[in-house]
Amino acid sequence: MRAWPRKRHWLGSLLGLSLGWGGLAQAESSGFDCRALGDPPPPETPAAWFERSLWANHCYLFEARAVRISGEGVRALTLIHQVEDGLQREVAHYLDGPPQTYERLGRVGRGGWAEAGSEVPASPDAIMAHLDDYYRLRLAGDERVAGREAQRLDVEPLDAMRYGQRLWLDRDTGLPLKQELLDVEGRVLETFQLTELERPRLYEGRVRLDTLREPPPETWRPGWLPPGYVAQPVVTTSSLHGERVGHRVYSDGLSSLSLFVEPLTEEHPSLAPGLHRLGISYAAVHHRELGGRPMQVVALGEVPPRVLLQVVERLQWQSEEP
Amino acid sequence: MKQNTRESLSTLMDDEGDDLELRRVLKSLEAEPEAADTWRRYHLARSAMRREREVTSDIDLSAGILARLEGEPAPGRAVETPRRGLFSWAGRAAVAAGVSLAVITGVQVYNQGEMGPEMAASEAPAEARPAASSTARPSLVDLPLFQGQGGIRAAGSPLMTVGAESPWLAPNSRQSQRNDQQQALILQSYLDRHAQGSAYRSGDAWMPLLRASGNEWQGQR
Repeated sequence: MRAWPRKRHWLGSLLGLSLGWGGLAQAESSGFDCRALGDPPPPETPAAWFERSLWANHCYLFEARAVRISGEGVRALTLIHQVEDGLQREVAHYLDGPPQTYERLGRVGRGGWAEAGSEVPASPDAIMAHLDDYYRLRLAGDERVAGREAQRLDVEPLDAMRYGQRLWLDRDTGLPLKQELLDVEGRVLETFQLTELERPRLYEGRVRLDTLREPPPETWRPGWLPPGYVAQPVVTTSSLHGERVGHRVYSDGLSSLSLFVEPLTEEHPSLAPGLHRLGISYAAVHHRELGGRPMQVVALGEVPPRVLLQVVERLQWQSEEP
Repeated sequence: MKQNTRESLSTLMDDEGDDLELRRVLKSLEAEPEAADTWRRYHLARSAMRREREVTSDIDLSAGILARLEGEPAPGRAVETPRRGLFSWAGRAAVAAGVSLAVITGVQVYNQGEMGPEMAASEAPAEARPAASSTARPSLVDLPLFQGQGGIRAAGSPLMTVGAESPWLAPNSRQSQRNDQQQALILQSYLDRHAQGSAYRSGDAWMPLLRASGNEWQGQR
C-alpha cells in the first residue's frame, strides 16, 4: 500500500484549493516560513480558512485557557504553545481534578512515510490535498468566542465512515478557538474551547519539518481501510507494551484510527474480544491465529465503531494474498 | 498482603507511581484478592474525604457507601481463583462464541458521564444489534486509579441500576469489577499510544492529546 500519492497529484489539488486565498508559501524541506502568515489577505474560501488554521497551529506562540467538555464532564486547562529554534513545544495542564500535565515536543509532521522518488509533503499540505474528497467544508458566519471574533467553519463528512467537526477560527490569526467533534448523527461528542487567548504572536522564522522516516518492518498490514486513510509516519512507544505490540496510525487528515497487533501470551493480559468504548474512543478487539500464532488485533479510534470492526476483521498477515 | 504491594498501592494513591508500580499492582490484583480490596478501600476512603470537602450535599451519600462497606462480605470469602492460561478470562467469551466477530454483542463501556449504558446499546453496530446487551461497566473516571470520587458517584448514579452490577456486593461482582479495572487500564495503554500517534498530524493537536492518560506523553523529535 502506498503511503501517499505522488507529489504532482497533491500539488495540483492543493493549488486548486488555495486559489481563493492567494498563495500561501508551501513548506519546503527546510521548513515552513511562518512569516507567510504575517500579512495575508483574509481567507475567502472554507478550504483557505482551514489551511490557514493548520499552519497557525504551528506558527503562533500563545498562552491560553481552555475548557474540555466530554462525557466525563467539564475540565479547565492552561495551554502553552512555544517555538524555539524551529521546534515546537506544547503544554496542557489541567486546572481541576487530578493535576495532569501533557507536554509535546515536535516538528511539523509529514503526510506519509519516506518513499523512493517522491517528496513527502508536510502534514498540512497533505491534509489539504484530499480534504474535499471526504469532507464538505462550509463557512457558517461570524461568532464570538473567548472575547474574539471567530469565523465558524463546518466540516461535514461525505460518508458515514468518519466524524465531522465544527470549528470556530480566530479572525485575526486563524487559530482554532473552539472545536466540536460530531458523530455520524451530528451529536456533539467532545468540545474543546479556549476561554482566553493571551497575546498570540507570530513566530518570525521557520518551523522545522519532521525528518523523512522509513516505515519499520511489519509482518501485517490492513486489508481494508476507509477511503482516504493513509499511514502516518509516526512511531509511538509504551513502557507497558514494549516491542511486543506493533502500532500503526492511519488518518484522512481529520479522523484517525490505530491498529495494534501483538501475540497473545500468558504473561501479558489481553483485552476481551468485542467492542469497547473508553471516553469517545472505540476499540474493536479480535483474537485469531495469524502466522501460526494466536494474535490480538485491536483497532482503536474516534471513528464509527463499524469501521473499526471491519478493519480488525480484514487485517492481513504478510503471507496472505490480498 | 505483602509489604511491597502495600507500598505500591500507597505510591499510586499519591499519584507518584510509575508504570513499574502499575504493573506490580496489576499483577498483585490478580494474585492477591486482599490487595485489590485494600486498594479499593483506600480509594473509597479518599473519595469520601474529597467528596465531603468539595460537595457538602453529598455527605449522606458518602455515609451510605461506608455503611455498605461495613455490610460487605469479608475479603476471605471473596476469593475466586483467577484462571490462568492463554485464553483465560479474556478468551472465555471468545471461545464460547466461536472466536469470531460474531461475539460482539454490544459495547463494553468504560465511561459514564453523559453517555449512559442505554445510549451505548443504541450505538451498537447494526450487525450486532440482535443480541445487543450493552453491559454497564464502571467508567474509567469511576476507577480508583484515575479519580478518587468514582465509587461514590457510581453508587449515586441511576445509571448503575441499569447494569445491575453493584460492585460492592457479591464476590463474583468483585471479580468482575477487577476484570473491568484491568480491562480499562489495558485499553487506556492503547488509547495513550493512539493519542500520541493522532497528535502527529497537523490540526487538532489538543483534543487527541487530552484523551491520553498523560502517563506516557511524548512527541517525536
